[in-house]
Amino acid sequence: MTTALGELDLLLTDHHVHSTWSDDAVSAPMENLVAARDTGLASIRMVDHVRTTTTWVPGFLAEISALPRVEGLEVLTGVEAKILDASGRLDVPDDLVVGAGGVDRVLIADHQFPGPDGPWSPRRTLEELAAGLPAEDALSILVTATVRAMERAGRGQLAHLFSLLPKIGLHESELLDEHVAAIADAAVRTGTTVEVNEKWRCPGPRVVLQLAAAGVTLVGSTDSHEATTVGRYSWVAEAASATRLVGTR
Amino acid sequence: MSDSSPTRVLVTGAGGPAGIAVLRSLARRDDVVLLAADMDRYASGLYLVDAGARHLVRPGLSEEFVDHLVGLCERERVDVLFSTVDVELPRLAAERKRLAAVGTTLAAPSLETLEVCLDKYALAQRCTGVVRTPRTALLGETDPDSWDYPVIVKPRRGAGSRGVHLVEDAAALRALGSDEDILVQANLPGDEYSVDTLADADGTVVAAVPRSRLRVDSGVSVAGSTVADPELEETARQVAAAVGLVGVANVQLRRDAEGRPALLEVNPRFPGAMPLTVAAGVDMPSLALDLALERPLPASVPFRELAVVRYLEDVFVPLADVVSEEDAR
Repeated sequence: MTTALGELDLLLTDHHVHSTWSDDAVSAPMENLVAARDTGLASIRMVDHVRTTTTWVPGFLAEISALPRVEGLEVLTGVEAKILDASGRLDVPDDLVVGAGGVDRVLIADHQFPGPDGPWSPRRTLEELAAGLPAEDALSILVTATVRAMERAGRGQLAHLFSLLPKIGLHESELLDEHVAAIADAAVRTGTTVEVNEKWRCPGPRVVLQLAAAGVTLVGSTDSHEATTVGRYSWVAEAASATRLVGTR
Repeated sequence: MSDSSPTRVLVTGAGGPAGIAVLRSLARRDDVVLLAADMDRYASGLYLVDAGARHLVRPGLSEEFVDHLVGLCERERVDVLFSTVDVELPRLAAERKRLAAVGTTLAAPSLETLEVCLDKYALAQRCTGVVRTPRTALLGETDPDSWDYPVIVKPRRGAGSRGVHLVEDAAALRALGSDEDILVQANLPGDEYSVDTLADADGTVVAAVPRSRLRVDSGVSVAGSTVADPELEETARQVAAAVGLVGVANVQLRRDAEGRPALLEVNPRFPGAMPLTVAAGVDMPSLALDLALERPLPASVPFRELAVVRYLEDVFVPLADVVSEEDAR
C-alpha cells in the first residue's frame, strides 16, 4: 500500500532551502533554482531565517519573484522562525505578511525548547528534567507549543519536527500516540505541512506514518545551505521507501 | 546532549592553518560531527567538511559578528565552538553566556586570560617575577638611550609576526615617536621556541610541548621539531599558571644571553603548527573538546621528539561545489 501524499511525491519536493538571505548560507537564490532544476525537482521552497528584528523580507520576496521561470518547477517562499515559548509565540517580525503579497508559509522551528518563560537552552532543559520534570510533561509542553505555533502561523510548515529531542536527551520513541495525534490534528486543521528533513533525519518513520495516515501533507526538506545539497536525499529516500510512502526509486 | 547523539563542533577560521589543524584532528573522532566557518568562501577548510556543514560568517571585527554567530550556533545546534581567529576570541569569550544559552560551549580560555595575553605589555607585567622576561617598555615611556641595541619593536596588541621589527639604534627608536601602542623589548640572542600548552579546568597543565621553529614563512612554522626540555616545559607551566590558562595556548619563549628561556608572548589559541604536537602524541584539539564537554582529562600526556616539514596540500572539488562570487552579500 502506498499512502496518499497529496499532489507530489515528497522526493520531488524540497521545501526548505536557504540562500544568502540567511546569514550563514552560501548559495544565492538563483543558484538554488538552477540546482533544483538540475536535480529534477517539481517544487522548491526558498526559505530564510528571520527573527523579530528582521527587515529584509520584502527584498527577499522581490528577488525570488524576479527569478526566471523554470518549466515544471514550482517556486514557493517561506521564512523560518523558532518557537519562543510554550504559548507558541514565533520569532517573526510584527509586520510579516503571510499569504497574498507576503511569504507563502512560516516554517516553525524547534531551535530551542519552548519553556513557559521563554526559550530554554538544552542545558537548562536537561537540568529541569534531572530536577524532576517528567519526560512526558516536557514532550507535552513541546507538542502543545508546536500546536499553538501552527495556529498562530496561519499557514505554517513544521521544520525538522522533533530534531530537538536528541539534544535534550529524549527520543521520538518516548512520544505518546496522543502527542503525534495532536500534531496531526492541528496540521490538518490549519493546513500546516510537515517536513521530512534530510539534514536532521527527522521525524522518524513512526511519526511520519501516523501523520500521513491522518492526512497531513508531507514535504521533503534538505534544509540546504548550499546549492549542491538541494533536493539530494538519502535518509529521506530510504525512510520514505521503507515505509512505502513512495515507490522504490 | 545525550551520550548517544554525536557532538556537533563548529570551527571558525577554517581557512587558516590553525583552523585546518583543529578540523583534521577532530575529524578522526567518530563521536563528532564537524561544521566549518570562515568569512572567505575560498577558505580551504570549508571543503574538508560535508557540503551541508559549510558556513560563511561575518568578519570578526564587524558589528554583527557575535549576533550572527550565536544565531548560527543555535540553528545548527552547535555543542562546542572552536574559534581559531585572534580578533574573534575576546568578543566570543565576552558572550560566553549568550552562547551557553543556545547550548554552545566556547572552547577558549577565559576572557580575563585572553585580555592579558592579547595585551603584550600587560602580559610582560603579569609574568615579570614569575618567569624570566626580557626588559619591556612602552615606546612613549622609555628613554631610547637606556637600551642595548638592537631592540625589538612590536605592536602592543596584534597577531603573528605583523608589525614586529628590529631597531638598530637610539636615533632610529627616537624617530618612531611616542606611540603608546608600540612596545620596545630587549632582543634576546638565543633560540626561539613555541610551547603548545594545555591546562585543564583547574588550571593544571596536562601537557606543554616545546617546538623549535626551524623555518618560518609568513609567521607560520613550515619546518620544526618537538624538543624535550624540562626547563622550557616548566617555564610554559609557570606562564600558564600566571595567566590563569584553562584550555590551549601557545607560549613563545626565547633563550637569553645565559641560555635561559624567557617569555616573549602568549598566543591564547591553537597555533598553525599544531599538527606536529598532535603527531608527537598530544592531540590538543581533541583534549580541548573533552575539556569543553566537562569530561575528565588525563593528569598528564607525554610527547615524543619528532620533526616535521610542511607543504601546501590541494583539495579538489567539483566546480559546482565552489561557492561562486555572486553569493557574496
